[in-house]
Amino acid sequence: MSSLTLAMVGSGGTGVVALGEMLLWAAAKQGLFGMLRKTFGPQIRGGESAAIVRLGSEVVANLGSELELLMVLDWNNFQRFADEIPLTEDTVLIQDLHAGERPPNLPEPRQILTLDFLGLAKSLGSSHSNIVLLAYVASWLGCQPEVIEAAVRHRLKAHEQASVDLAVVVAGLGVKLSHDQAIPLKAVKPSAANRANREKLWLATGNQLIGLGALEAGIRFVAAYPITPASDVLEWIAGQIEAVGGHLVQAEDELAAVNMAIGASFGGVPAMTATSGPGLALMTEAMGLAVASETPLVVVDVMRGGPSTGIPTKSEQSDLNLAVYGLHGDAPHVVLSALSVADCHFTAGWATQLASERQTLVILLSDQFLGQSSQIMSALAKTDFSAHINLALPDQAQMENKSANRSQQPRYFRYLDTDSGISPLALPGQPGGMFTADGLEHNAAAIPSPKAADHKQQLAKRLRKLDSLVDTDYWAELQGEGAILLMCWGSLYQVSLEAQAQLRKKGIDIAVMGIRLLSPLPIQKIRQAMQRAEKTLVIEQNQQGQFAHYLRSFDLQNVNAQSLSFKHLDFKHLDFKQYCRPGPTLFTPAEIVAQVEALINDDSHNES
Amino acid sequence: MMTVIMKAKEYKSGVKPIWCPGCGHFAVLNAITKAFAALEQAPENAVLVSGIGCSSRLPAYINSYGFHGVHGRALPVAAGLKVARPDLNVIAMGGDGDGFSIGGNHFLHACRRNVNIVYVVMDNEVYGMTKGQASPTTPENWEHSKLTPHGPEVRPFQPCAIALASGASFIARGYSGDPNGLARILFEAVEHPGFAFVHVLSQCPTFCPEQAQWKQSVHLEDVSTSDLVQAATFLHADDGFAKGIFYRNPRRVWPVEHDTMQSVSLRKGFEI
Repeated sequence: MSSLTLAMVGSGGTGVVALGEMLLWAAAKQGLFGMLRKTFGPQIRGGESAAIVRLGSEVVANLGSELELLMVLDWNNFQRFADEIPLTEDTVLIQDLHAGERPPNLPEPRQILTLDFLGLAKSLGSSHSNIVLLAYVASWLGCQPEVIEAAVRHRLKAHEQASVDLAVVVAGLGVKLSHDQAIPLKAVKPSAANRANREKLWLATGNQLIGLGALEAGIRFVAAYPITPASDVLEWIAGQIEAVGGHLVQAEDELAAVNMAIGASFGGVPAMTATSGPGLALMTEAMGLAVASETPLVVVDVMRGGPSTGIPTKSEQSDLNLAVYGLHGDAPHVVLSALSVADCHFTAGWATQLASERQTLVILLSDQFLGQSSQIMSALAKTDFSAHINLALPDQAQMENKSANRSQQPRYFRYLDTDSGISPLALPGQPGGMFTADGLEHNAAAIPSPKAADHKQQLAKRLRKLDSLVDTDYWAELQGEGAILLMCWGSLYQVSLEAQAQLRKKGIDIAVMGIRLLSPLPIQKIRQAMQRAEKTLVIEQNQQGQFAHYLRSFDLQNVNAQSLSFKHLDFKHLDFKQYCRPGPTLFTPAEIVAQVEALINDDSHNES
Repeated sequence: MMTVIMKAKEYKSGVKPIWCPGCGHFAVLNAITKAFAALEQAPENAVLVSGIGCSSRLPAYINSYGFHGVHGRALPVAAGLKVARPDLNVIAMGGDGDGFSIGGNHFLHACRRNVNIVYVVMDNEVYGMTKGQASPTTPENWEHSKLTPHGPEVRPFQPCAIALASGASFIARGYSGDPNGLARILFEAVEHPGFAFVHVLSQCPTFCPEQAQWKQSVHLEDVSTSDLVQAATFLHADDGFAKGIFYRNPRRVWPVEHDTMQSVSLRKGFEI
């Protein structure tokens, strides 16, 4: 794949994020793929902002390793983004004549173009230097003037007609400039096939696609408390859910949000909430209630830098421990991770179905990178996921016998101890099914009970509900074969795939595994995959190696193997290396390539 | 909604309450069954939602659907249920600690949100289940808790006045010593469109035996005004022992139904 990574930086009001959005939109119209990451400082409005766009001839699912083109409208506060914008000596710099002093201590760019974008805009009575720059770069990339105009009109559609018209004329100056001043880089070109298929392209963020996946699978109640970077999951749903006959409630806090969702779900309406780390922490008590009362519930956690308020606008994978272990008591539940922006759609649908069919809590982990990056992708196919519930059949004989109402004997065993662990569910309004759902330990008839036998039975049944889950094909995505198995979860999967492609060019084949089902963890399948490789590397974006610790908590070598079907496999040598570091900077393909190469060169791993 | 003819006692589930002899909550249980009989309530269409505490055990004792959740969160569960299932009669309930302390924020917002549910708080001015600690409504000088040996030394919470200030559209107080009067209030609360708050003085003979004196203090004040200022004046002068319907002023119920364009594709907005 050929690709080009561009960053645009400016202070508040220069419109660099809008620039990025228009550039991505125009590129998509031109048949290119791409991805946009917006990055903001802590200010609500104004202050500094930056956008990073990577364009490619094929699907772009990560931002790559290097920045080829940096566009600066204003150097003020650039240092805040210096970590996230990997400026190198190969980078070409385009700066506005009025951008101010370039900060010291930055790598010297390969070439600097200083152009008077603001002056050109002002010559027409506009302040939109970002539009001139957009048109300049887009035109250089091969976008037709009418596509650039459409991008401007699309982005400014809420604005007054006169100012939109002016912006279009201003864009013309940028197009003209591109004829006079070329950018000394190789522009990325769309493949012929992409041009032909461009009507089937989508532009979407992971947060929007979680909303789509959830609504398409049947979520009809969402309770919301605003939190960065999850709010836009909720905002997207708020704009859609009434059209499909559902409701979104803005709650007074996360405690209310999660309990509202539980209430709706108890009523048989598939329900969800979405939050980020601090909100997930607040929700953990009620998540235990969903497990104990066996009420279906989907909780989306769009992870950000933590702990506490941490870095709310940046990505990290550091809520795994909370998601897996955060519940009080023995509370088996499902934890999923979305493996790409597009996979947010699939995994949200799966989460919705699992919650309903297993009558339990499903936590879906996404992160700020997946959630708030816009990606051009092929239109996503609908999934078959559904929040369908198999209702308990009312006992007709009991219903017709009025005296049964007065009987001391319960008529319906809500928490019946079945082979699957899943008990027949009745919903309010259904005659013959009346019971009180309870977070108190209870017996099979839903009567509160502190008895040891009831506790043991109900704990075992709730755990058993998840047993068959580890047999699902959806548990992970596995690509390629090789001496090295690169194991990851969440947003690192797509970066790992690009690292795999780069290693292949160097003659190194590796297998890449992205784990979607984090709890219950299909450990036998993980053992088998590790068995096929000589070495395994686990990577994750958190300081402490939360997944690596989790993986080590299992009897990886399977010393006490019970399963006859795996007796022929020898897991005694299984071990892995780990590479973990916190956010907010994103993992790059080059970083992963370096780690894999280091592992290959590390022979100490082969001892024993 | 389907109606049924059932006797009050048929609304009891048969599960034996855990409450102490003489507990006021027995009378609340009876009042609910009487109100249900008067409402011809189909048991399967009623849901009692509670939090944690002695009074929150009540849903299991009623022949209907029930949800016994976590401490302080009965109101959000009930609101979510009612928004999702407007066909159901949803009654949230619990105690003073559950509703006014750990769940206090939800109380304020339930009053202003005005979802069509009933909220019954059985107020005995004490945490009974944890063996007798001061609650938000405990008198300032109540020195019977080891946790606050000098008494709470904090002004008691004023549930009805706070409900009014927060936007509740139905405010009433009942007394466990008068189950028939409470049943009438509950009947009216269920019939009221919007959030109906029913404060119940429900005595705790175990930790607050002095509450036996309540029967001398309680007095009927059926103000039943729709005038906010009149209600506020009354409630701020209230000695806490008035019973009756104080305020009733139906207003827009949440959720507000909007005409939304049906058949709009969820996917349309993603297309380039």
